[in-house]
Amino acid sequence: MTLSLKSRFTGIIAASAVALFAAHAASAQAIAQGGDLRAALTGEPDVLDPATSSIYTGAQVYEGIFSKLIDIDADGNFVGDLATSWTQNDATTWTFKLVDNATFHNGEKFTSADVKYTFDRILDPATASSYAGLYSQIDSIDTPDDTTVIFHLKSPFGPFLTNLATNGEIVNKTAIESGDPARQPVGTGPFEFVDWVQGDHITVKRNPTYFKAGLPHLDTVTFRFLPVDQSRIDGLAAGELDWVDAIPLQQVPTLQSDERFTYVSSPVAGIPDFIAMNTKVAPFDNPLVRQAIALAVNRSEIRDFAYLGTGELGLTEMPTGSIWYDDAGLFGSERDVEAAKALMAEAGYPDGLTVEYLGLPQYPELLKTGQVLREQLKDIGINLEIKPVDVSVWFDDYVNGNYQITSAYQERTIDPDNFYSLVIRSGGPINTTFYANPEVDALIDKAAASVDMPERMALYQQIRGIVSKDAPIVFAHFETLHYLMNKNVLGSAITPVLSLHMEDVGFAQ
Amino acid sequence: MSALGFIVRRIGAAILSLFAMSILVFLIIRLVPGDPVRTMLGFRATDENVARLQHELGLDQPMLSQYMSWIAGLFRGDLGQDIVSHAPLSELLLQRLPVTLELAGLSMTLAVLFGVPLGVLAASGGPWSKRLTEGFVVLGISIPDFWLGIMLVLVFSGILVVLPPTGYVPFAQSPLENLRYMALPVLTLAIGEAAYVLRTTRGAVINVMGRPFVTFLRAKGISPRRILFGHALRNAGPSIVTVVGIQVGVLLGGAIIVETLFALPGVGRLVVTGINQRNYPVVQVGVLAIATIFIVVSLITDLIVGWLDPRVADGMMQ
Repeated sequence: MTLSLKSRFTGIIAASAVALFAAHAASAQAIAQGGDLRAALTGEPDVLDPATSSIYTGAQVYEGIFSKLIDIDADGNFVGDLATSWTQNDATTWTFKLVDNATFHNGEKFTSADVKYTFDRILDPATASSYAGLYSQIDSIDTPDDTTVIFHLKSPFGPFLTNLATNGEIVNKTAIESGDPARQPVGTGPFEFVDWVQGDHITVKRNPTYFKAGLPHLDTVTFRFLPVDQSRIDGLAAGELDWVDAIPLQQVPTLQSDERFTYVSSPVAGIPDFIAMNTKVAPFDNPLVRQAIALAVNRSEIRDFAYLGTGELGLTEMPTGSIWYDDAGLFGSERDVEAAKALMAEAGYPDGLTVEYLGLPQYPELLKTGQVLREQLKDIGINLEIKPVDVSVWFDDYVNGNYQITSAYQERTIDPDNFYSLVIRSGGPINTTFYANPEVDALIDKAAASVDMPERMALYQQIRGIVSKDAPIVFAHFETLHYLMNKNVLGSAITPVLSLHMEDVGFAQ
Repeated sequence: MSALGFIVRRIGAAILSLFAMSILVFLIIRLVPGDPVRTMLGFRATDENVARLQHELGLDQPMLSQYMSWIAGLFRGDLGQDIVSHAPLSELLLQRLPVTLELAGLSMTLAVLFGVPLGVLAASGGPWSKRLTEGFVVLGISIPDFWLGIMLVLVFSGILVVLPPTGYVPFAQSPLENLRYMALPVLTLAIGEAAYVLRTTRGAVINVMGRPFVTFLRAKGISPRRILFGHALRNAGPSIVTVVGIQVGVLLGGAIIVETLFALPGVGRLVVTGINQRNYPVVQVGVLAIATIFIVVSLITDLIVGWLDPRVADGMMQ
């Protein structure tokens, strides 16, 4: 499967979509039924309850155990999962028809009541779900019959379908209330939970009553937790593993061309990294200083030095392979040192100044971004002092505004609203720059309330223009994902929702 | 005082040390900045959710009552819960202690099996054996575990492809596979340890060989081999055993790095993950478990030394 290499470098949406589709179709024919896949993740999940798990490795595992109502395919289109069809009755009402042949791993039949229970539970404050915000627009849920579910929204909400496709794994009431949802997940997904040996691995096995015919291909998947990058590559090379997540960046060029492995990457999804400035404290309470920083950033240097040439130049919250990508009308998309210096002088710092950068050594690339930035800012007279802190300290300081400037990232941005409502809107839960612009707030709300795609796209273009000019954050890089697997492993692809889709993966015949 | 009294007194001291240790670890992990609930909930944490979880986990209680309820739980045999995964800590420890004990036990055994004979050879052999063992000591002590581990993986897993680079199979499941997976981590720790044991043995044997009773034995016409193994080594024994006992502590520290490097599900890795997550109960119980092992080993060491050299036991009893 050489699809993603090509698509990664062309960066053309259509090409990548076609390549992905072609590879998927081609590999689907050649995949054998059966086999035990040994996969390595970058760490151990926290819990396997979709409502309370808050780390990426948790989602990577539980997504194979649960099903959602709908999903997003590689082209960015919504496709049915537990829902067979969906219609928007009016601006605030959505009706979903459900499959009739899905059963939970505990034997209970899946019905519309489970859908209602799932979202009621996420929204219940007692669950303390981090994802409640994604569904706060849900007013009530009706279940006229077992295969129909109707969502009544409080107001029109553009990202509704996206949010159903990214989270909202359907759970079973009996399993949640009388079982151990954190450690013994029960879903309707392609794989059933088998065991979890803390500190070592989680095993899942084929669900024999899975509602999608012919899937999954594999008999079992064992997810091992290997946080040391080199251990994953060594394990693959030694034949101890079949599939690994996240390749050490310095090895990407050699491993890409290694005959033994298939390298998979794609610009349809990933993680936007940005420089965040605290707009409540000097000197970044002055927009001119923030603009100067935006103009002083050289993104190709960040990509070359901090990310060793991997990933994409970060200009927006979206990767180039997303249907939402649009880099028109951005402020500071090209470096302009003279203009930046002029802004510094205008801001009252003609002789420069010293600022403290909160560094996060836990994510070496972010810290390296800080180091590259330090060199770039010297050109405009800013002396960046890097103060590295532990991840827990960084979280505390970042969330509570005890910092001047830092590097941060945002996970799972599938709809632009996932980014702007959380990070940019005033009072947003992750608005850690304390940026507040009523005009932008109004535009974010308008874009969220719209269900008209072209209108939303135009609104986000407008938002990006204003935010890049106000510069509470400056996008620095877009990290793409990459998987590495043995040549005989087929069907693995980067999906827009970052799900591993292990149901499509299998061994060559 | 009898030997039994000596043991009882040592156990009493051990309990006191553990008690002091419990206060220390409880305070230190809480003094480290960073909030466990925020770290756990990540970016999407809302203030309400943070407050709710803090209350559920009892983290909004005053420190003293948190400590008291932890200790009370320990006395009831309730070690508490991992606050991230909700797994009972008694279960986690039961899974993980055997891994760390096997790693430390095998490494130390290997280190003693190689270090002691080589140490005797270094003390009594010709100039070449002295030079070679000296070279081994310098290398073994200077090479850091993490680097040695990576190099061993490169050679045995990368180039020769004979041993797995990471992973673990319980001994009960398959003894042979277990040893295959343990080979590289054990070797990583054992090489450095063997160097220490070698150096100590060499020093102790040279010291004993210079004492008057050895000259007397020589004069009696006893063979050098019998003097070396029958008398000198026996007299050097207490120093070697003492150093081995102390080195177990160093080994347990090294196990933390080695377990992380080789993805072994041991107590060390549990504690490291726990520290990063500010998972207070895990760190507290994990560190206490390691401290208990060390204290038990010291106790056994003292008993062995007392048995080897009754003068030491007399001294300790008074």
